Amino acid sequence: MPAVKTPFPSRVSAPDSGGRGTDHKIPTGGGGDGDWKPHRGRRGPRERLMRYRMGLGVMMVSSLMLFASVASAFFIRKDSFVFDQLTQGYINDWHPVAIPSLLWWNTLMLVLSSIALEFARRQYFREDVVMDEWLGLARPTIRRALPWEAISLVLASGFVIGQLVAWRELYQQGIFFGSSASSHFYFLLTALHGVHLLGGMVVLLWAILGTLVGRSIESRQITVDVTAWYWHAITLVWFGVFALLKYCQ
Amino acid sequence: MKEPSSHHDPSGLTAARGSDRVVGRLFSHDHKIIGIEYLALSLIAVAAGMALSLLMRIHIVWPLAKLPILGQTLPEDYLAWVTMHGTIMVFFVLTTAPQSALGNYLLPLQIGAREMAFPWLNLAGFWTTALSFLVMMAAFFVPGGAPISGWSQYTPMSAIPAPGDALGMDLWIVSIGIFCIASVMGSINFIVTPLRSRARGMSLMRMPLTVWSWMVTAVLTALSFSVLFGAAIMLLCDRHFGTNFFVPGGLVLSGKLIDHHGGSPLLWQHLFWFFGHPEVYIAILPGMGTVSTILSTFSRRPVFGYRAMVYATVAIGFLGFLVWGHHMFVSGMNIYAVDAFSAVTLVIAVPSSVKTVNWLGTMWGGRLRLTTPMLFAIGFVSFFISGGVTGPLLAEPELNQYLHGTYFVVSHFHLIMAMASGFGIFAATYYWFPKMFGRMMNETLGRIHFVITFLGAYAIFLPMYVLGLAAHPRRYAQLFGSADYLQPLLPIQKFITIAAFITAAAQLIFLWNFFWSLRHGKTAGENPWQATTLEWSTASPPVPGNFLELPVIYRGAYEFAPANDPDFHPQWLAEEAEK
Repeated sequence: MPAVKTPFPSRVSAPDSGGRGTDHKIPTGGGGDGDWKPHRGRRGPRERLMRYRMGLGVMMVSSLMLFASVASAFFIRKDSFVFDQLTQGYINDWHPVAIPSLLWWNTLMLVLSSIALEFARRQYFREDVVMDEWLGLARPTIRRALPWEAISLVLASGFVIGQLVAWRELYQQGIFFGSSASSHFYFLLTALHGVHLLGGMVVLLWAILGTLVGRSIESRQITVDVTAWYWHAITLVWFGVFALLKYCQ
Repeated sequence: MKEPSSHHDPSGLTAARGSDRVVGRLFSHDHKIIGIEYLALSLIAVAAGMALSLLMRIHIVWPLAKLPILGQTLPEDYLAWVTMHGTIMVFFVLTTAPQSALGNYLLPLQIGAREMAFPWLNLAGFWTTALSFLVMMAAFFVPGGAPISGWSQYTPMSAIPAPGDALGMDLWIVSIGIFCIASVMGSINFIVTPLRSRARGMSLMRMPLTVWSWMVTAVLTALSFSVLFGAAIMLLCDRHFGTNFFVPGGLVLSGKLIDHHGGSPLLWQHLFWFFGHPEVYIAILPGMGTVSTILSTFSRRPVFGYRAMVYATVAIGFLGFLVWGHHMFVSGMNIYAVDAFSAVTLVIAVPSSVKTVNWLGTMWGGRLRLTTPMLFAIGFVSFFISGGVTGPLLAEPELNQYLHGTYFVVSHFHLIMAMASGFGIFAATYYWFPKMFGRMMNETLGRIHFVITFLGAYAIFLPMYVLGLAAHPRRYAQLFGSADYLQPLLPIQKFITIAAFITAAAQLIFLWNFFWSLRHGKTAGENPWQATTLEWSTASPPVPGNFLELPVIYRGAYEFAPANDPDFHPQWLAEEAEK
């Protein structure tokens, strides 16, 4: 069957080699992996890390556009006038949802979760930690990074539960997704943000698993690093969503 | 630095059992296999899309004809075909083939990388796209059939579950949502790979223009598809979760007052076209890069104004985000907004003209080799002019009022988005087939295919300009009843239908040529076209890992010198630099 003549390549290129074949496994020295401007210091051992960070950046910009599209719909809807059958005129029918004060506590939890993960990330990049791991002397990341990862995960779970409790509060006031234009946006934005965070929590679980049993220190560094940056971005997005719902109605 | 040469030994392949190899290929993370899978997907999609267009052509001129399997077809069938033809062609052909298929196959080869930056993400992207296609095709087979509200799914029609927009419409939304996710997955690779995985010596300004256009296209994809995703979520909520994003109050459907209030149908149009206009450039930019490369290779001249081409690509991508309003001139908007959108739209003519002039400049005085890919590339330029030149006309709000609802617009966007992009895909297929499969496609069949398709495309779409000027409305299923006044235009419609059938039949020549050449074509060798870009330095088809040794790049992508012998200086050869 000649339709696909390219031979199966798995023996050549490690799945994660990102175009550099197996070269990236060379731990030090740089320059060997297609580096043609060594003075820039951008290639070499950190090449994979930088690649993942950039990929995450593209993804986050794309996600940001999703929130921006809903936010722009929010502003248009808020200021639009609709035809009223009773008065035979155009009225603005925007009735703001009273934002539950619980959201302040949720925000605090998310910020603390982000900070905890930042500590975990920094532990992973400490020189003595990396050296110990690299030489196989010990696994200091279990002692140093794992607690922070766990704290972050617990706090993030607290945030998600808090968001659900806030939904419940609104339900008890008789405010549902379909109740009013304002409630549409409240539930949609919090849900979209929550789904993003839940996705992140799955990756954080993976990072915790990696800290416990993972082998390559580089891969574990990347998982924690990318997760942490994702966390910060999601926290910033939450600031935007919260400010929009709290102050822009 | 030692080279892990043992990894390039393909002998390990024979050890793998047959079934493992099939599964291994289907789920391979190798960019070349993923590229070919995307190509196969878009081939299936284009066959479906063309079949739908032929059904439409039959229905509009012979609405009472009984078709073999479908029997008597109805106007609402016509509307469903219009919707699905547009959707399938735009998403699964024009987005998938030039960017995902060719880009995946060629981008790492052209920058001297062994793989994409995130191979597993790439693999996931393909299968997500395939899932999206299956969901879309399922819309034909559910009760109520495919949606009828057009590929742009204008609200409030699409926002209310009703006959014609029933379960099929929900599948449409879900499918597009999945497609958005898949596209963003793909775009991450197309941005990160050229920025971080280039070989030694491959500076940004030495990259082939194809790589530039894939990268800019990916930026457009990442920014625009998530907006469509957001809009699709809101549309689905409007249909099933009691929200009122897009449905206005007081709407009466089939004699019943709809229980919605306060939504804005125009909001959907804004969100949709904020995606929809960049989508036009997502479809055409990769073709522009391909055509620049092919014109240069077969004119034996460097691309005229390489840097200007790069800047024009970026400029078109940027401006593409500022002009969505010109799709909505007849929908109603602030008069100053109309002026702004009109002005920015006219500005796009500048980088587009830069490109056109540079293509002509590339060919000017060259020793033209009129091979099949070259013919298709010239055809691309022709369609780009004949379709593009009506762009500034339609950007005039006053002219747009008259022409927007007519066949004039149909002709405009088909010439530039469908025919030009399609010819870009054909040119690329003929050009890179030897690299992909190690054999040449048949030149004679290729030229016959070109001549019929080129003349056929003009025979279809130039008369549509005439129909549009005669105010023939778009989307009319038949010219009977209240549309009796269009009867004088029926002969033109019949001519178009006949031309469409001939053109579609000519595509069988292409298919035959494609599959016949897989086995029986002339052996290609490494560099059959005497081209300069990096993919021609390696074997055809490329060895696993693309290159035996990672190449070093010594010069720009298009260094031809007609006076020298040989007249081309490949990027990867050092010695010619001193000549």
